Amino acid sequence: MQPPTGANRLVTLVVAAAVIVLVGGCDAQWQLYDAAALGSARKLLVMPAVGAPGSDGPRVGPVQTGLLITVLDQTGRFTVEGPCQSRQKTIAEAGMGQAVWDQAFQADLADQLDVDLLVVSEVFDFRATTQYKSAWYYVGESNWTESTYCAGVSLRLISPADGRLVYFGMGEGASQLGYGPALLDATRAALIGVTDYLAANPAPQAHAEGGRP
Amino acid sequence: MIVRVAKGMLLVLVTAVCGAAGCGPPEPTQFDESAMADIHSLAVLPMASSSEGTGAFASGVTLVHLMKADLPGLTVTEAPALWRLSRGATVMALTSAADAGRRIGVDAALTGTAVYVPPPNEDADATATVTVQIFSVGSGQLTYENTGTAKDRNIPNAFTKAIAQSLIAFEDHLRKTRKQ
Repeated sequence: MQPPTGANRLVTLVVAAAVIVLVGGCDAQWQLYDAAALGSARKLLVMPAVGAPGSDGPRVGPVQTGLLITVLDQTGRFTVEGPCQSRQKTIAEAGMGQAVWDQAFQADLADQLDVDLLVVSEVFDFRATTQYKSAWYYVGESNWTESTYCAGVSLRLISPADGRLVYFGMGEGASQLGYGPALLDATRAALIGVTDYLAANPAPQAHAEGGRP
Repeated sequence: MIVRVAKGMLLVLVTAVCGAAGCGPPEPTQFDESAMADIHSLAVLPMASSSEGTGAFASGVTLVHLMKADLPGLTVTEAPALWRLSRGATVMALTSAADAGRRIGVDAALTGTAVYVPPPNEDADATATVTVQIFSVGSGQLTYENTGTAKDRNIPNAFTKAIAQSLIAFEDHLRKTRKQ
């Protein structure tokens, strides 16, 4: 057997890189910037998610907000609060004017609600693609369509006091069943860094018992 | 030997294609070097966009891009998220970006506009065009403005490339003028 030449090595490298990309997929990326802040967080406030462009996308914001609350709650680590209380307090105290840009106001609100981290999310992809199929049978031609529902989600965990980025995640999902499974897969993929971290760093016993109602 | 030649040919080919297509980094339309010297903290505000979600998504990608860039002497934060609580939230007028930055307590506020054309089918590219604007809080003036456009089958990649293009001159300037 001959030793590998430079050209062979190059081909092997290219093939190996292609295999890694194909097998590993590119459907999730994340970065944990402040592990200590995530590890010590007990209460999360999920802000209303922003919907996606396209015909179906603008309505998906509230769906994503609810899904995010559920998926975060299922980690069993956090008390998760939706945007209702914070919206009422903000409107009552600031009236949604320029004060919404006030960092001190956000920090104060988070203090009042005893919130450790804010969760902000956007749905950047929410569309269905249709493929037209046809096949010949013994009695004639059959035509049908197959739809694939795609969803892409980005989310960030933010420190409410100073706007510091604690975690960033982005995930994509696709399903032939409907938007629901695609959005759920995308949300779980975007949170994979959080769930991995929590699995590797279980809560202290006292925290686990007292942290959730 | 063959690998070295292949690498060299690839480099020449990429350079030639880039040169022919004019795909060098875009020149900023606003670049105030003296004002940039005073920017040590930057808040990323939501960008404006004609389609739902595009501006907020572009801002998130910009924040993450700047965090990864780890620019010397620059702290990057996300603007308060309370604007999301208003129903049918509309992004603030660009002229008030400096005022928002003042309320946040930073030296500069980054905002801009984002335009996104979804891929028409599974095999096509998404197109993202992002104009980044950085306002100095002290003077209220536009300090930096640049536009990047990119295509990619992967939507986040299209945004990331467009934002990287639009910020390249800003990042280069900070790296050149500041020591770690």
